[in-house]
Amino acid sequence: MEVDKGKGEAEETRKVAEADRDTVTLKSSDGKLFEVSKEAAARLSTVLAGMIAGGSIDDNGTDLKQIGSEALENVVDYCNKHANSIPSAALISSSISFNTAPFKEPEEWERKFVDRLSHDALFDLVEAANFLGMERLLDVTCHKISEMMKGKSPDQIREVFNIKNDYTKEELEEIRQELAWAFYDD
Amino acid sequence: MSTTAAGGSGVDALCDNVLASILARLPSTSVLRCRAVCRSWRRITTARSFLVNHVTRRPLQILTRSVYGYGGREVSATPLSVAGDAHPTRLFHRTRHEPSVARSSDVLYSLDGLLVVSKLPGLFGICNPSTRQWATLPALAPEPRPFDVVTCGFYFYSPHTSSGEYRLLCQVRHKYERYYCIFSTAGDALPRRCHGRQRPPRLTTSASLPYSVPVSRRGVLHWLVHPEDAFTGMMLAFDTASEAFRLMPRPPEWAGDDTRKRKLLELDGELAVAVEKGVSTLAVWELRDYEAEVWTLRYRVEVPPPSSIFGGTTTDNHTSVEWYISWIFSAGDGAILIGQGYHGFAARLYDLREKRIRGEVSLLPRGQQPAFLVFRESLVSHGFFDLPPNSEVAHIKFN
Repeated sequence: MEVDKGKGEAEETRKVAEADRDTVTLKSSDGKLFEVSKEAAARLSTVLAGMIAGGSIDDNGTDLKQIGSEALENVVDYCNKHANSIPSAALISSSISFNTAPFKEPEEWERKFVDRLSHDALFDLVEAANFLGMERLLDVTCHKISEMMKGKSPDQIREVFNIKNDYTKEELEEIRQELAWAFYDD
Repeated sequence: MSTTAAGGSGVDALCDNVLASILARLPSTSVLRCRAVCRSWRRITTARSFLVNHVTRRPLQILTRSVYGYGGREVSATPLSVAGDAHPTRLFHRTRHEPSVARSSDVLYSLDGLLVVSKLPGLFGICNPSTRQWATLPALAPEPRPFDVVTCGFYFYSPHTSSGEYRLLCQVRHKYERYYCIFSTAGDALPRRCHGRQRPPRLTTSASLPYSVPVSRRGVLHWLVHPEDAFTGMMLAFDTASEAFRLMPRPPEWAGDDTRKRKLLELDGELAVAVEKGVSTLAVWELRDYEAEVWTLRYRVEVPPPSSIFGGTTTDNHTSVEWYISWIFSAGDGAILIGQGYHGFAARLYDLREKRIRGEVSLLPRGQQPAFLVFRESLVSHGFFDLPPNSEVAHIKFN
């Protein structure tokens, strides 16, 4: 009952202030609706920013057919958390200092955010981030997945990520011989 | 079927560019290992665009050399991280200890993940420690003897965007004849004379490194330290396309005769000289108008000496030591990397725009001497490495 009432109220608000709402409604591939702050969506996603600027946001739920509800929920969750974190903190990062690479280390909350996800949820989220042009979320999720690969042998990587080995025995032996040193020391 | 979109798709379902973006974050050794995972991963991680992107994500490292045991020498790289876990990784070491190869493991230049190593007098090697590939540059004809070869600079020459070659510029003396000579990685080209200047200056025997590591700007190499700096009071420039040499004015502010007190660097695309004044003042002059050769004072900042170099573990009293700056590199985005030290070493990132130190790390344990070169891993392939990776060549062994 509570939920329905909430939805009803949201409907009301939508009708009252259609033109200058401060949220946008996103619709997952399986038809679920999610509300996200317009400001956060525009700031964090180049695709949503483009849709908002171009007026192609549907107030009844903008269709994102490529994104499942679980991934979209995580996207929205990330946007909300990002909006609530101190904006300047995201810009000042200690670990960037000695690395001129464009990537800034994940914040503590971002780390926790991706750590609680299952492999599959993480993969869906990285695809969603890529699709929506969410550079920072893509960075954080890619970083997390790469951390899972670091220091692992090809066999271990195949096992962890459930990848089929499509090399012939001979081909694999050839690669191993060519890069023997890379397989032994870290 | 909506469940497939909602989850359960696994790593196989990731599109190539997402997978490439993940793999580009891995250290070089991990990337090489990933090539053995499956065909598509090999295809992604051998694509040139992937390799170029991978380089930009590698941390900057400082090259160091150290002496171990009886006459052993090794070259290591230490990543600059503020996490306090910066350990040197050995890149290669010398396996033979004869005096004739005493300097052979010295790294002369570091560029695009490649290191130039002196193998024997007049014989130079190029290696990529990340792929463990070696190539030896063609040797000078041994006659007439004797001759000396002094290295001046190493650069990438690319007349067309699609191709290019690495070149090593040297000053050679054959008996009474002196000339500049260019070694190239292109094909089997023999070392050739560089006709941009008929006769290089005479070298004083005392100077072990007559030419500093040059700073490149738009295809022109620049040296602050060169054989004629003392009596001309000028910088030396070499145009890598026309191969012409010329002398250029240096900044008007010049802290005496101590060459250690000024460093040439490239700052946001322009040539700059950092001059140390007193204990902690750094004046940064910029050649903003390169054509008119007009130097402008861009920054004058206070950079106090390092505070935490030894991590509080030493009992030595270093308070009387003058902390002269050993090297300064541009770290991009208005920041410079300052290396200074005496027995230990500190690397600090100083933000010139915000006038503050953004990070400091005590870099090197004892026994490690900085080579004053920065290094960034690269897996980009080069045609001149035609041999398969080899862990041991001549008297130098990787890792």
